Amino acid sequence: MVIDNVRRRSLLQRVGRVGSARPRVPTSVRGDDWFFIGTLAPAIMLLLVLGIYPMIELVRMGMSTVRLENQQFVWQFNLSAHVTRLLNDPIFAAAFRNTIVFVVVSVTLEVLFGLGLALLGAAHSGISRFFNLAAVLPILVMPVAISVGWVLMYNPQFGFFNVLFTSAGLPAQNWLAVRNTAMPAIVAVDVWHWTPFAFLILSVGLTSIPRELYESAAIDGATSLRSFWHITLPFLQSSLAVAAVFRAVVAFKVFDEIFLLTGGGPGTATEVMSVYTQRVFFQGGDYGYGAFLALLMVLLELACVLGYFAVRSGVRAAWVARA
Amino acid sequence: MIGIVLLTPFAWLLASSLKYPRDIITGHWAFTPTLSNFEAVFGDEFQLKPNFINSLVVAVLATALTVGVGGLAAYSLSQGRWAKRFKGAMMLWLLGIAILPPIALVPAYYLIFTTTRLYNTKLALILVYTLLNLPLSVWMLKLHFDSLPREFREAALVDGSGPFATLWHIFRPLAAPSLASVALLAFLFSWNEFLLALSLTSSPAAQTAPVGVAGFVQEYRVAFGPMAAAAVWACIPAIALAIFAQRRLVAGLTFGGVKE
Repeated sequence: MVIDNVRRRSLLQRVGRVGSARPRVPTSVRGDDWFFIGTLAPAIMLLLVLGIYPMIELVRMGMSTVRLENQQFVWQFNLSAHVTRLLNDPIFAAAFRNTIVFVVVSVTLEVLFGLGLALLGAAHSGISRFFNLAAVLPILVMPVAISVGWVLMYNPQFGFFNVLFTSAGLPAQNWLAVRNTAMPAIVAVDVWHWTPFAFLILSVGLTSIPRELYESAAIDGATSLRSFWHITLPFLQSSLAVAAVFRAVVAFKVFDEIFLLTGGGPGTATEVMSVYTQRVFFQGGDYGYGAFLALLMVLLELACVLGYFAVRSGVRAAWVARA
Repeated sequence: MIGIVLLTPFAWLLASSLKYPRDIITGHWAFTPTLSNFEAVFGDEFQLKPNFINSLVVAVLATALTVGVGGLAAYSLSQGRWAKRFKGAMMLWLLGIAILPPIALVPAYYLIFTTTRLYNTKLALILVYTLLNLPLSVWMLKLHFDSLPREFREAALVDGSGPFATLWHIFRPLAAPSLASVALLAFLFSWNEFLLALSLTSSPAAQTAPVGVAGFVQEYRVAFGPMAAAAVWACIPAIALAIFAQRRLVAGLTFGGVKE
């Protein structure tokens, strides 16, 4: 711990100024340093034991084959086997492709719908308590329970959609079991699930725009489309970025809904990286290759996050250069 | 109108949970409601009582630990004389945990907990959930502590209040709104979490509610009524908290957006 002498002096000076008689310097100022080490220690312990150590183990496992023999894990370094297997793994290729498609399509739709809803809410000045409650529920309710709800919605015999379809005279669909509809069905669940989140973030962003800007724009004869383009969007830029990045990070991890609704099927139509990795690890009992795939996900995520920050600082620099 | 679209899946789930099997299979809009499914979930056939009790124990203890460990760490990082660079590194470390895909923790946890005999225990889940809740709690509480005037602490020290008494009697009440947000979100996260619970438990001794509810989808493919009822039971904490503590929850959920 590096002790900041400037602050200590200023603190003592300020203490000295209190009252006419020179007050005793509280002993606790010195003892504080130990107090602050002690209060941070539990968090650091947890972060080391359950955060850093497992990551080291993950790297080690990802480079080895690990087998369970007589209740003992037997390790053997074998990185090349995993690399060869990865390059000839059509399921992983599909899972990789599907994850990217899933993240891009659902996050785009969620941010667009969320923006629309936030603008609608702002236009109607004050959203009803009922709507707010309806918007918060999908975010807070157990994803497993939500998946059960959608399993029943999509059920080919008596699900909500097919009851609607058949009463309209249309043929019933087997939504989750057909290649063409399985992925769109999953994306629809995610859009339903997370559009409210984008809505919340963007609503907060909208309230930070000064009303006077719109008024003076209206006086200058700007159309509402123009003031949306020149006032709303520039002000919302950071909220839009936050909503998209938050959603992308979480969408990348998607597991519960796909695991329960399709299990990755039919075929590999909805296979994503988390679901495939979990299956390789537990059903395949392939601890080494499973860890290798998990490690790959971490590296991919890291690359995306660093890439995002690089692009963002690049954009900032471009803005500064222009100004 | 859009609110109704958002609630449709919940309404369908609730309707299914109230139906007799014959009403489910015909898919009629009108039906005679029954509560038998809600009892069946905890009955001899499905036996989900231990799962829900485990969930409650795990979520309550993980929440308590999250608020305790996270609150102390946030106070230390906000008020302690740590070097700026050290504070920055700690916050970044926490952010890293927050964006880590949970599947990345599964392989190592499975091995570590198996060899330490913590596999299939509630303790393992409690510790893991505390870790995963730590980033939000430290970030949110640190920013709250940061926003309070420094003079509070200095005045308390001059008055001879010990460091812990200062934290407890001055900072804890002032940060109460953020503490409530953190506690609510930590509870719901721990109650809802599925992937790690599925991967680190194997019997009713430690399996939580989501694992039990998911079992319906995988095993009892035809027991739609009890399946829906189990899901409705699992929704209850979130619905109750959404109704009674909506403002605190939204404050927590939009925390990242406000911060940026």
